[in-house]
Amino acid sequence: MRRLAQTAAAVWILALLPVPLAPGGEPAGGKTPSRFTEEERKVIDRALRFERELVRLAEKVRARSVTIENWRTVGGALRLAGGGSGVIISSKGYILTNQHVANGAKRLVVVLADHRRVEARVVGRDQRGDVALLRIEARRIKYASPLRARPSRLRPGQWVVATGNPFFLAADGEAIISLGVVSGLGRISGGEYFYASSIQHDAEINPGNSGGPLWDVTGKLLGINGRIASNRVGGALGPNSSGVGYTIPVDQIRAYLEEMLEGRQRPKHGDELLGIQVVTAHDERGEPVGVRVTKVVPGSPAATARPHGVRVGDVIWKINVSGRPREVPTATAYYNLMSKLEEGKKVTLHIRRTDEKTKRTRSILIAGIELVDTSSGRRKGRGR
Amino acid sequence: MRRFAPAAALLLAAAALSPAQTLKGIQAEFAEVGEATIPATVIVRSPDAKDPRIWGSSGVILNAAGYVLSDADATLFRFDNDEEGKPTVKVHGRTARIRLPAPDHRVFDAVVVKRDPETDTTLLRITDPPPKDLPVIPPGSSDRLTVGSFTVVVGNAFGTGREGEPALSLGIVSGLLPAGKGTAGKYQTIYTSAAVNPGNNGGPCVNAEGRLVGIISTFEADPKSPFRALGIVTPIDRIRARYRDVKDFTSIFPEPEPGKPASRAAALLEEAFRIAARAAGPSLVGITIDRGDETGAYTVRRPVRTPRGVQVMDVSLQRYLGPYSGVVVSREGHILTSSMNLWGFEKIKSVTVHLPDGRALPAKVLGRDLLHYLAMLKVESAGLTPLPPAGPAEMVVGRIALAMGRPFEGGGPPAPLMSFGIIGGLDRHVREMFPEAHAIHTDAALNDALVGGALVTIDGKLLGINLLVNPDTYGRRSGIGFAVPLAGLEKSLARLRRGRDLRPAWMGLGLEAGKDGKGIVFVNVKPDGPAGKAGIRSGDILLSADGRAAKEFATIQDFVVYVRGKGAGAVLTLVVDRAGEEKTFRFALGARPGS
Repeated sequence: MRRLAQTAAAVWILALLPVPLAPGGEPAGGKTPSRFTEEERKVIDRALRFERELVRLAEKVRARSVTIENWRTVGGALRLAGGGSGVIISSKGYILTNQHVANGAKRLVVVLADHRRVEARVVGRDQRGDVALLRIEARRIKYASPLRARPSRLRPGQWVVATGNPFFLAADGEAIISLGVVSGLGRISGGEYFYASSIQHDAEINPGNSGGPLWDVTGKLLGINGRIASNRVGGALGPNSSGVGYTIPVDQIRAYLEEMLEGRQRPKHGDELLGIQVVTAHDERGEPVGVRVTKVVPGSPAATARPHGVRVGDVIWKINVSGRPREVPTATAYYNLMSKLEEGKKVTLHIRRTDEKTKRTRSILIAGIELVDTSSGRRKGRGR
Repeated sequence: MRRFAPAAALLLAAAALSPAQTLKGIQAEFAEVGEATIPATVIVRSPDAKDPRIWGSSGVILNAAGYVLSDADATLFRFDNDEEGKPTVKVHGRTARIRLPAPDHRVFDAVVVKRDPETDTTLLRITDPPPKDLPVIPPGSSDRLTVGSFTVVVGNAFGTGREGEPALSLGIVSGLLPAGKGTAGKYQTIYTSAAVNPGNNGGPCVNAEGRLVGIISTFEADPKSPFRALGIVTPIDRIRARYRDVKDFTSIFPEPEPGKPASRAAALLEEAFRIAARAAGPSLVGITIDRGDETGAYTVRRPVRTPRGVQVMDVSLQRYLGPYSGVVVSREGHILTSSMNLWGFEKIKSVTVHLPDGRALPAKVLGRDLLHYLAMLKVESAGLTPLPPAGPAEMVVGRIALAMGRPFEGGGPPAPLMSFGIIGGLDRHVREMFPEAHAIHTDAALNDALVGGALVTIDGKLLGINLLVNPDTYGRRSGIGFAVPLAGLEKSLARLRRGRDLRPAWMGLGLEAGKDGKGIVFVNVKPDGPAGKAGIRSGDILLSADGRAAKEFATIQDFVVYVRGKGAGAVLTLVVDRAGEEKTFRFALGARPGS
């Protein structure tokens, strides 16, 4: 999977002459050519009513989408080095985008739907989760509340629309909209950025759509797009859509909006706090049976647990959270569960441990591990 | 285990609950389809394929007795690659391991009942543990499909089902290949615009009611196929006939129940797509071009994924050779297509237009507009059916856009090739392509065969001529498709009808930013180019063009767009600063040599 950051190759398509668009308005619904039968015309008129809903939706969501230009110093001069898309989430000019869109910028310029170009600054960021909060000083802006949608209630097959600036083709800031459906939920993807419980959808998104919003058909903000899976390495501008896009759900982001507004770090998620990395463990028939520990961070709650710490090779198959047992047959299930836990929660791990010498497997229980931040930076902070 | 409610019951409930033909209604309908289809879409692997990283095929549970349909390679356990990544060894086993998707995760052993490479399918039977509480996908009929029917594709695209639930994608039937002699069912192949990716093979393709209409084979990768980049689905009625000799045939492949609730939102849209295709169909033509021995092979340098990582290398590519698509725009035989289809123009020996009624007529290329990538053809035939154009006010972002073409010879299948999307944006210009008109952006899946075809509104009007902007850059399934809107191009179209070409204007010089990054400086002026002949010299600084001050051009690109858009033959007046002295030049613009 690759990120959707725009590359420098697109520089020369930008900054187009602001010519007013053709007047919009309702599609001509009532008048259809006489080449249709009466029955057919009834169907067409009903379809046109359906279409008007789409047009209204498009108007609403495009007005709230922005293009973000990432200017960097290249060879001594300030150049447009990349960027992506974003969404305005308050009347005060706060904008959500991806961290990888805003990353390393000397200057950030937001292009609004009405073609205004406004300087932006980074207010907060979630480095690992690939989210950045920007702010612009601009009046008369339309925004989408991040508090309305409940992405956890989405179902595969539900229609969604994505807005953004694929390949920076909409250089004036007017977002391009694409239509699709939810393909799946609870997707995990790792790498430099970590996406947990992300939404997979088939609305076309491409390099440049990064940080741009995904909406439901009532115009509620579902999240921000950040990644695609692609079955080939693309041409000059990188990979392109294969109908497999991933969105960071907005409910994850709103859990730490306050921290971002105040410029603080996002509180660590349970999977970061516990201090282990895992992969799916399969039995000899290929059935997923739990998660095998591949790394234990020294000094972490997992390593220092009593009576004994978690070891590399342990297979965790069940985790009790606040007394509730939850099976974790796959790494996806593990990360989806743990990434929802906050600091201070206690977990009990059900482990199958195989003795290296005797090859005998026994079940062990490590109870009441408290999820606390033991990273060195945090400890220093406490000491002061 | 009540989560496996019979799928049919779920669907009936959906029909009763959401009769409203609205966006909310349609999404509830497809969510029901997803809920019923996803749990019954399984992963099928050979038990000998130990490596959990091997994705395996997708499969479909057909009945509660544990019969599963997958692709012909589902039991493949050795699929080694040589240095260049080409498969070397294929061994098909007699057994398979079947895994249900999350959150179920149960694993079953299965035996091969019958393998049928002809339809790219394998029928498997679950043996151990005995099947219990299996979710199933109800049977449907592929013979009842038409171009425009919704298709929902579910499967383990990119291995999604290994960890979580398989992925769902929505599309429509884009093309239907009629069955050949000796083939059961009406259709040989269904082509879908839904996202079909590695790992989808063997998985279900269901209709808007969640009924099984076919099994995913692969996606069309052949650059010479008019169906390129579309998903290939084997129709269930063709598959069913191949398994008649199997014991328990009638319980494995029961006859689908007829009927479809007409109040469903999906049914309304499907019907509207069909009507639009029926209305536009007579105006869509196929175009074949004789270029002699031109093979269309070419190479580009780009990053490629190899077994040894991503490497930049020369890649051999193949241009699409036709048949192409065109649109009838007058009763007297004027046909509009994309000038992109006339590549290798000087090699073209003849152009033939294939009318929907099967007639093949020689065509004359009246003119090409290389600024807007249009070409006007003319055939000698009266009484053709032109497609009525949509007015500028009808081009509204969010409207449904149907990309249609008829890239076939001899009339081809009765229905056009079609994909469905919306107007995604009205771009000012795509790079330097559309300096004066708005290009329509659409996410309707386009391929080379649809280029030159029509982008059509749901009420059957011509929005524009389909265009792919450099598919090797933007990808063949990027959702980055365009149409050249005809509104605003009346002058150009009239020129083309009169047989006059329009080429982008060319000055014969280079442009550079001034010392402080501002202003435009002329460099590398070709002495024999139009600007050079007029007296422009390298180092001259632009003050104004046709009375527009230099600072009105925000970027160099804007200036290029302005000049190109004037067209070859137009007169340009430039005022320049030469070492502090103001000089004025007036000259006729040329066309780039060889364009």
